[in-house]
Amino acid sequence: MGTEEVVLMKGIVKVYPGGVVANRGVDFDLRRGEIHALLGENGAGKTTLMKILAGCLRPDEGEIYVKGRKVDIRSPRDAMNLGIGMVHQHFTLIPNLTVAENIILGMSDLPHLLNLEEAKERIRELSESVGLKVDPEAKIDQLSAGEKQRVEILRLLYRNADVLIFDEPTSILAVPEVEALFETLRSMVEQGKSVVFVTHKMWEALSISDRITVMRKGRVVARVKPEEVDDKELVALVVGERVAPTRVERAKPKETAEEILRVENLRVEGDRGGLAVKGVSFTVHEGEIFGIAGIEGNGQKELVEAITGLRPVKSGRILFIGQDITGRSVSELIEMGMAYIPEERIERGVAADLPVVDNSALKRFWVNPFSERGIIKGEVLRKFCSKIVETFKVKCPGIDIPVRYLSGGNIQRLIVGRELSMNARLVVAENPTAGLDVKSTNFVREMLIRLRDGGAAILLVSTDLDEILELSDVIGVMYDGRMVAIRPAGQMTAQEIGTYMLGGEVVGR
Amino acid sequence: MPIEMAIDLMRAAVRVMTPLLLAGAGEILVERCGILNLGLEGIMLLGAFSGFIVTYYTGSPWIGVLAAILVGMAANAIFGFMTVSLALDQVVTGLALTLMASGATFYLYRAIFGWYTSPVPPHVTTVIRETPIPLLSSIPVIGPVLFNQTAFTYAALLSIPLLYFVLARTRVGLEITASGEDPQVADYLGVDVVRLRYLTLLAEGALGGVAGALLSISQYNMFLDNMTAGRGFIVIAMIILGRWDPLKMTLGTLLFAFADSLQLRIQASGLLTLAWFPYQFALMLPYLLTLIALVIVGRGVKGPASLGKPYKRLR
Repeated sequence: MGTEEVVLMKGIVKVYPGGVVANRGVDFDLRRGEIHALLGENGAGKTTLMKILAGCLRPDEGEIYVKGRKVDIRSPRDAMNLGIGMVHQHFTLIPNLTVAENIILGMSDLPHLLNLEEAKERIRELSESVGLKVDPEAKIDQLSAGEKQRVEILRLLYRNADVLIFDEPTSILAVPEVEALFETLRSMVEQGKSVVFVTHKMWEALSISDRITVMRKGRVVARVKPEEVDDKELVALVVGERVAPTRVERAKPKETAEEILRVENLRVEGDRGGLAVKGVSFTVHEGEIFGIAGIEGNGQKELVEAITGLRPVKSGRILFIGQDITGRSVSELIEMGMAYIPEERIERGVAADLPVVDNSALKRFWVNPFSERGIIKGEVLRKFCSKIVETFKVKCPGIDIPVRYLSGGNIQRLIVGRELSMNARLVVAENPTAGLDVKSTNFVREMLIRLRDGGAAILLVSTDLDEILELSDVIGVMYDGRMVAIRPAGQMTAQEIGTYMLGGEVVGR
Repeated sequence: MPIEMAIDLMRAAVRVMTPLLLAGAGEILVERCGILNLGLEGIMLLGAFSGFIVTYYTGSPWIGVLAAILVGMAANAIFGFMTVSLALDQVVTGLALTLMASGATFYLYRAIFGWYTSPVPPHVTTVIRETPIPLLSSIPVIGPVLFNQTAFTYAALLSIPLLYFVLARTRVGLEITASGEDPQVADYLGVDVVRLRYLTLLAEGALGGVAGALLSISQYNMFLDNMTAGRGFIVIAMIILGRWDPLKMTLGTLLFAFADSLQLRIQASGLLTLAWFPYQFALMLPYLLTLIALVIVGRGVKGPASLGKPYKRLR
């Protein structure tokens, strides 16, 4: 294996228009004929860095050298001309076109009159020579996820890319497909190509790569070789040194707590077909915060949607205060006392174009005391809203302005206020502090604790490990659609949780 | 019905169909690229107006048509700036363009000719003559119907297979389809979505301009307020109901044109003196028939997935 540097990125800084800093001066290098894993948690800046290299994003600062030459990559086409191609996490295929059309689309040396027959022939030859079977005449929407990925890879090879970037390529694959993909990657580097493998799964990085670059919070924190580190060290690098978080003051759990939520062997389908939740069971009691940790996309979203009645259940049962609620409608669940603080607060939490006052009772405006005989009582509603605004310190110029004009933190305060004032037995909170400033974050957490102390059961789903550690009484970790560990808080260290989150235990099995 | 009348009816239908077909070819092109241009009606009206004015003053319908092409392209360039470069709402911008065209032509016509009191409005004489195609035009029935028409009719009839070919067999066609399906992906793969959207809009502007000019300088020989009478919208409806298929759009325009020619002849023949059949029903007939037919043929096919959605690059 040579040590020639094919790609060198120096001091890359990327700030998104919203002010989020994704890369804070990142150096990265890729050698010819290696598989280089880029490892880190959600939001570490891995994808951003690779999108910059592939020309999909432009860096704010930094230099890129390809094969020793300083380059300015302005578009994906520029990158392609330098031999750099990327297989994105979400497919970049056009469902309505055929495999062959998708592969040749956008090539700069394509003749004006298409010769599809010749292209199909070349694709067949190529797919045979690299062992990626695919029918060039098939339409994309007839293909499975694994086949689509093969089309993406073939497209890069068809364009003679020699630097191939894979962003979380295994997240959509079944186990045998993962093995096949690894085979393909190995055979490609043997032919002298270089591969960047972006992942948050530790065992993948350890098993396939020649070198690992670990990123955390927009910075590179380590460059290691897989044979030089073990699981534990790698987890420490990925999740960082975490000081034991200060746990918020709280009441002691009751001795005989009633069971509020019981999930039994739940299976739920994902958006792309296939199971996203693969047999999950757990219980949440009154006066308890059950925290679900895990990296985004391991089935938490689908689990929450099944519990809140937004997504059909494939099999298994959900019990709420002793009643089987599987398949019940959202309004019934609200009626029974289930509150939901969604992650997508603008899309799911509020009606953004309606004024604050209407949003404050969005889930209950049709019942007493807000309505009588189908007529809404405006004064009662206004008083109620003013109380929420005051108690939960929602900063707004007036309760008649559309929620759209409030800041993220204030929208969340309004949602929390609304959900908490409905005397819920169960609160499902999904990344409740994501994107909030420190003050609002603390406020929301305090409210959840207060509610717990008042006897509600709280299901907290968060990708922020610190939040889980800080708030939970019981911690469950989700990985690949399964609850891989459930233990009382304090009996599981941050390192252990991190290992589970990254699929660490799964390797051993 | 004597054969001469039947032939005359079919000739008229093909003539009425010509502008619809040209405008439709243009609109299919932009819609396949992901843009819904409700300004087509306005483009046609601007084409009718500018074509008429220029023909009136120069005496040459060819210069008139050229002017209509340029005006149509200019109007669509503005539409493109608003919807492609500024990523504004296509529906609102398109309707605004149509309303603007309606008001502007109304005003300019009076600014140029004044408030005339004569019962005969300013008009031009048709100088665009039929160009019979040798041999083919002497075939009975088909000859006079299809091969003894103006050059614009031939162009319109040829534009449909050409459109098919471009969309299915050429690089630019593939890139247009991709831009209409998923502009983000097309962009990632190196397709210049913005350029393509402008190009298709310019083509549509030219075609729509000609379509409008044919109404004023070839069919009516004068300009009337809002003389396009919703033809731009019916073309868009045909395309949507015909599921973006050029052939179905062609059949739709043919049916519309046939029904339109027929109802005119029925009215003129006095057959409809029957008191219980109001003439408004005859006027409604072409629109109704076309919509019903297209609803039946055009089910179950998906249109361009990103139709009507503005695309803005994230940088």
